[in-house]
Amino acid sequence: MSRSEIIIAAGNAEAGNKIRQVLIDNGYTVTGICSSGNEAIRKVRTLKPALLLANFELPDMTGFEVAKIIAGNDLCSVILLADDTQKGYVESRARDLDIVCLNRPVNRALLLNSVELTIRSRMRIEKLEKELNDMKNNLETRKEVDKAKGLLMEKSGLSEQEAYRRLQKQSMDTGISMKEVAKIIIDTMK
Amino acid sequence: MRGVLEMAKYTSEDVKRMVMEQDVKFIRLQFTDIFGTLKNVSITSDLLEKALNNQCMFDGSSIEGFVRVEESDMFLRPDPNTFAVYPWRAQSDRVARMICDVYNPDGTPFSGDPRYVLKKTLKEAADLGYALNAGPECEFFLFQVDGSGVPTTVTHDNAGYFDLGPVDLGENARRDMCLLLEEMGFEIEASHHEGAPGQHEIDFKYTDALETADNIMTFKLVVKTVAHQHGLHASFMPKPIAGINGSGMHTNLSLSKDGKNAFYDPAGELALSETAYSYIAGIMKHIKSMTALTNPLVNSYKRLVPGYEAPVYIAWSTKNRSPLIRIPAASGAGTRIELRNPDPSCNPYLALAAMLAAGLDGIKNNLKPVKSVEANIYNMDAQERAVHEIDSLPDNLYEAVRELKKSELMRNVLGDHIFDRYIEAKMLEWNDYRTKVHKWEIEQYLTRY
Repeated sequence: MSRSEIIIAAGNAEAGNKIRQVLIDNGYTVTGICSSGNEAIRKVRTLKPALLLANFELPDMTGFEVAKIIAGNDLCSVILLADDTQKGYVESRARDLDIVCLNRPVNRALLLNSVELTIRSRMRIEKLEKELNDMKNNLETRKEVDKAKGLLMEKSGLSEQEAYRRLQKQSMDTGISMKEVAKIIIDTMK
Repeated sequence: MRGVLEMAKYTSEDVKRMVMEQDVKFIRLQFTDIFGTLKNVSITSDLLEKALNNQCMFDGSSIEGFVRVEESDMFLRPDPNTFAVYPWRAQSDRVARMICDVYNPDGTPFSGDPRYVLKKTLKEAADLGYALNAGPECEFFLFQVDGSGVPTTVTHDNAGYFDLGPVDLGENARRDMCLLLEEMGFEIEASHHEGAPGQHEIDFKYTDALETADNIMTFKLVVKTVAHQHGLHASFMPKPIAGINGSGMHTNLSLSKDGKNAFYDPAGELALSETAYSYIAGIMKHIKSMTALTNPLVNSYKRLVPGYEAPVYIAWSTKNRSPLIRIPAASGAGTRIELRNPDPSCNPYLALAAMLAAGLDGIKNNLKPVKSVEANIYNMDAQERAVHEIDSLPDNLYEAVRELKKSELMRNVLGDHIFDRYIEAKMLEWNDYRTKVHKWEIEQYLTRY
């Protein structure tokens, strides 16, 4: 687990400490216990944990309000502890937000499993998103490079290999990415 | 923004299409009461057709300062051009809004609608060939919210208990505000931390006055919503903390005629046209009577004191930042005057209408302003100020309301309906304040006497 910091939000300090103990005993790091929703939002924004574990009832706003803000802004995953009715409501309204709801009272095993699963799936999603972005980026680079190469071949009479080599060399000499160099060439030669 | 919105002239059909395409579930029909509070009726998208046909009704008697019970049915006419989808991330359903005009059941505009007051004044200007451009500089504070959700006056900058992280919460919140405002079509010109701890300013590009007034209302909503999503409370109260700067809303004003800036004259003194000078003179003549509109709260007058970059004296200057009106250095299309007394608690529709009417009065009567004052007025004594003919703004809300009451021009601008109700409500506010015992009195007197 590379990023396993957790923040807990519970109106009642005793409950918060209990959960914290369970998590710490199992190798997680709890970076904060908050007694209100607003405090939880501020802490999550500042400390950027992997997960917020929040009670549905908080003194200033509902845990679901907090969860919508945290998950809606993609700050971290959220696990909500709620009763049956609240759970039904959250599940009907949460749509595709990254919010998991657990029934209270929650037993130790279920809590730990859910925490582990949530953190892991978030890590996996982040990895996939990164790969997707890289791929998009590569594809764009290739498109720009091909276009620039074409222009160099057509207007400067270079062979394909020479054109590619020139792009590569300029990128290396200037420390600017191939994509940017290609864009500059397209802009100036067009 | 002007460019964007000029292209974005939406028709009712466009609105219907956008609601469908973007899967909007709720539409907020917004209007502003006479005290500058944003009101809204929320409808589901199924009722959009009815709303666009101006058939949405509400009970006007429930809105402060609107009407009596027996004349309570009011109709909302949404302005399709103001259609915007809220960019909040933390919502289950997509919500859009349209800003509305308020109409009587007989189909005439409701005279208690502040947007109508501004439209009416803009029409008067248009009859003379002028259009008003306005650009506000809104300041506000970001405060912490306590454990039970009640806003405090503790700012994030000096809230020791939360000094955990390296990033300033307020900076992050402000960045999000700018991003979401841009998503709603605002062109952000500057955003920065202001003089006081926890104080911020975001400036957006000037545009025609009606749109600017709409924008100010939207701006406040966005700022408050984003602050909430950061566990903070945004306040536009003019002077929340004694001893540090208050929050103002300096307003940049210019008139255009035939698409050209009517304030600019390369041959004029300071490159200002006669029109600009008359406008300045008009504002200076009427400023005392319009202060109750631009600075509407008991608290507003605690900002207008010497020492905190807020104006106190009625004067104008090109360099000095202490007077009421400053002429920024930009010239050409950027020539404008900056009115420095308004604060963000004002009703922007009424305040801009007053600023325009006062200026137009100056132009119509060909008024000339007194000489500009380049020295720091705060360093002058009463005698020197008398030599320069420098008068001062009203000291408190009571004086401001009395000045307003005397003004025929303001009665004309606001119309009898708003004029009377506004004065009545502000006198009540003042009397409530006057008859309460304040913390300061207890601290000063309780043990001494």
